[in-house]
Amino acid sequence: MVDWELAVKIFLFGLSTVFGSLAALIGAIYAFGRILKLLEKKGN
Amino acid sequence: MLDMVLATGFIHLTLGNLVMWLIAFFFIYLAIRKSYEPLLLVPIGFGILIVNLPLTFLMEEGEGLLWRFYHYGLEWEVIPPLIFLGLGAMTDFGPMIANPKTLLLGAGAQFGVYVAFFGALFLGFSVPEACSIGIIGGADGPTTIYTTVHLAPHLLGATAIAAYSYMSLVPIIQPPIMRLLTTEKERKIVMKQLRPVSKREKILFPLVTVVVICLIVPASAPLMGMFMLGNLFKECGVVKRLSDAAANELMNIVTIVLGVSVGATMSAAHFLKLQVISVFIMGIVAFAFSTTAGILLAKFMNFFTKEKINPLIGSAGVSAVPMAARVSQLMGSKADPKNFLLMHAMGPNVAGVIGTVVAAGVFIALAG
Amino acid sequence: MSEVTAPMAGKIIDVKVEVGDTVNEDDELLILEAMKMEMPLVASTSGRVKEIRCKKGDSVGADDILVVIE
Repeated sequence: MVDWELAVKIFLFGLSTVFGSLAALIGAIYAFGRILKLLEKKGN
Repeated sequence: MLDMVLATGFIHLTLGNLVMWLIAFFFIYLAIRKSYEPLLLVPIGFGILIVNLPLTFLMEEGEGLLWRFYHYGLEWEVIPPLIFLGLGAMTDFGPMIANPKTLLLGAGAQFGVYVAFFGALFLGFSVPEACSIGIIGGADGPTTIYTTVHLAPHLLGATAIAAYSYMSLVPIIQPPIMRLLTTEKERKIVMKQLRPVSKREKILFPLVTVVVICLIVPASAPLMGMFMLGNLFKECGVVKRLSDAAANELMNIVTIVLGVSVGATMSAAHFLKLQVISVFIMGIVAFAFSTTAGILLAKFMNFFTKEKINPLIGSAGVSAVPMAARVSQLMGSKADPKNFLLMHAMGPNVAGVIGTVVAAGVFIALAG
Repeated sequence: MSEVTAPMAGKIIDVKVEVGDTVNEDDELLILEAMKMEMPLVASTSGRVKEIRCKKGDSVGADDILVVIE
């Protein structure tokens, strides 16, 4: 018998993790982009 | 005399073996005459042929040659991560770094994974089997193999073949869906040229990504770790030899072992089941829904963003790199020959690879 | 006066016009190859080809000016 509870959990957790981790990555890319810019300014 | 006849393979041949030979010849034909994924279908096809020769015991546990390839290469999880090392050394994340919001499209296009997951459950597959079938929708061969070996190794032949064959069919599967879901006006949206990305950003990217993704989904570490290591090799510029080796020689070697091993799992007794047809049906359902979700998400994002996204790049969120991005380019230039979407589509395309690896990590963590 | 620029880095694998040719908008001028894909670059306006700044086999960068039409 299919364990529907587990299936729904995998779906909800899976899809939100996919979006969550890629959103976190977007944040990280913007963050290090900005830090690099600041460092370059200081370097000048 | 009788003993000699019994020692040959002839009288042990089954009808199933002969059917598998035909499948093997068909794959080899597709590879050679139609150039469908020849690097994989030639070794897979040949693997199918020789594993269906009776009395060769190539997949005999503990002694067969192909069993050793399969056991130490796939069951030990060595080969898919090494392929990711090579992919990392070939992937340019520049377009994604230049326009990070396209990462979301790579996430949206994983939707089909879950549609196929539920579809497979309704068809009577168990949860781990449904995970392996769903992940086909990510359109990523090595990730599909990695997940299936973990969760449902008896389905490996079917899921691997479905993933690779649908990947090569992306130029046929996607365009009708893309035309259906977009208007002429949307297809003509011209996107601003991407900003150049500095070398520093490109070097930092794999380091930051491996930390972020593996903290969130630790089970994705084998694939993500190797993917980003390969990319660091490529971008850092001081280990060109390693980067070349990962992208060329090593990649080619593991591709041979991978292809033959996948083919070797397809003996008549294992492969000729009704289940396999369901796997193929769910596979194409997954592809179609992933394409759809990517396009719809792009249209949805256009409600909020100032610079409009051409929805044709949404479908590139399925990770088939770079086929899906090429389809976006072709469809875009058909609508307006001055429209160049290739680089814009590469963002969601490589993000899709990351998204699929994350989805696989969750599957393995929860269903394994 | 209008310039045709490279939409992305790649290699010019064919030049289909010569200086002095008259072209119409959307006529193919060059074929650019990037990521193993061949893409035609078309004229941005109708006019006469004034200058071609690349030749077959050249590697070009994004935004490089390739053809000038007047």
